[in-house]
Amino acid sequence: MKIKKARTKILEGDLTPMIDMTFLLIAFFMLIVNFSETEKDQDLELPDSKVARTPDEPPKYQIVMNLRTSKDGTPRVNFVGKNFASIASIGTELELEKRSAAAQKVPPSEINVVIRADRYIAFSKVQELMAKCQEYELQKFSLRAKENIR
Amino acid sequence: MKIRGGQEKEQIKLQTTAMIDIVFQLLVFFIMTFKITALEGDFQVNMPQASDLPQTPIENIDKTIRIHLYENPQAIRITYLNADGKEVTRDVRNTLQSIEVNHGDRDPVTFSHLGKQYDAFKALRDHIQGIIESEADPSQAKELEVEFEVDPNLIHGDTVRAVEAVSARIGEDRTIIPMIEKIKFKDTGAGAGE
Repeated sequence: MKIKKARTKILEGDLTPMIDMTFLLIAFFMLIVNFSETEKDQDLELPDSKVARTPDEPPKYQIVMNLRTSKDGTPRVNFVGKNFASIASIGTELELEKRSAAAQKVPPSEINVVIRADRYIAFSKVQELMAKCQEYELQKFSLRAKENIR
Repeated sequence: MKIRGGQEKEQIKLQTTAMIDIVFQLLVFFIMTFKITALEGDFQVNMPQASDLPQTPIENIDKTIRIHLYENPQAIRITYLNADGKEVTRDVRNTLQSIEVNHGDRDPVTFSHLGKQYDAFKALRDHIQGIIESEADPSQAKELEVEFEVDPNLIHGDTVRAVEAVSARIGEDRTIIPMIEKIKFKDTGAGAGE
C-alpha cells in the first residue's frame, strides 16, 4: 500500500496591512507624546479659567515653577526638577537659569516665568515668589490656569 | 510554433518578524507614556522693578484702574470638581469678600462677593467692559492698565479669577475677546524683606 506522506506546509499570513497600521499608530503616538509634561507637578490643583489659552508662539526662554503648601503649612517650590523647602532658597538656581538664558542671548527681562500655584495657597506666597524673581531681574510672569471649556 | 510557458516567478520573501517585534515594542512604549492632561493657559503679568518704572505722567492717571481684592477670613464651604471629575466639598478660608475699583478721580465702586447669589467677578468684568466702551477711541482703551492690590491671605485661585475677569470675556459667538492686556500687582514688599 502506498502511504502518502503528509507535507507540512508553512502558513504565511499577509502581514503588510498590520505593519502599515502599526506604523501609523506609532507615528500618531510619537506626534502627541509630550515630554515637557515632566516638569509639571501633576498633583497640584491649579485654578481653572474659561479664557486662559496657550500663547500662540512659545516664549524664547521659559522657567516653570510649581508652588504649593506642604503638609506643615510652609510653601514649597519645585522647579527644574528640584524641590526647595522655602522661597528664599531658590536664589542659586535662579542665577543659574539666568546665566543659561544669557548663553542663548535672552536677557533676563525676556525670560518668561510660569507660576503654577495651588489654587488654595495664600496669594502673598505667589507675590513673595515674584519678588524673589525680581531680585534676579526677571519681570515677565504668567499665572498658569487649567483650561476649562464648558 | 510552440509557445513556451512563462518562467516560474520566484517570490522574494523578507523576514519581517524581527521588525514587527521592534515595532510592537515601540508601540507599547508610546502607549504607556501617553497621558491625557488638561490643557493649560496663561495670564500674562508684567512686573518691572519699581526703580525701572517711569513716573506716571498726570495725564495718564486716568489710564490706571486700581483694583483692591479683600479677603474673607471666615471659612466658606465650597463644592467643586477635582482633577478626576469628582465632586469635592471643603471649607476654605480667605476667599474673596469684595472688590473695590478705583479709576482716576471717579468715585470708588465696590462689589461684594456673595457666592451664587451675586458673583463679584462677573460684576467686575461688566464694569471693566463699561470702562473700555466708554473710551471714545479704541486705541486709547488699549492703553488702560490694571493694578491689583491683593490682601495677603486671599487664595491664589480667587486672585486668578479676578485677573481673568479683567483680561478677557467670552463673546456671544463663544470667541474670547481680550480686554486689558497690561496687568500688574502692587508691590506689597512681601518677600523682599523676608
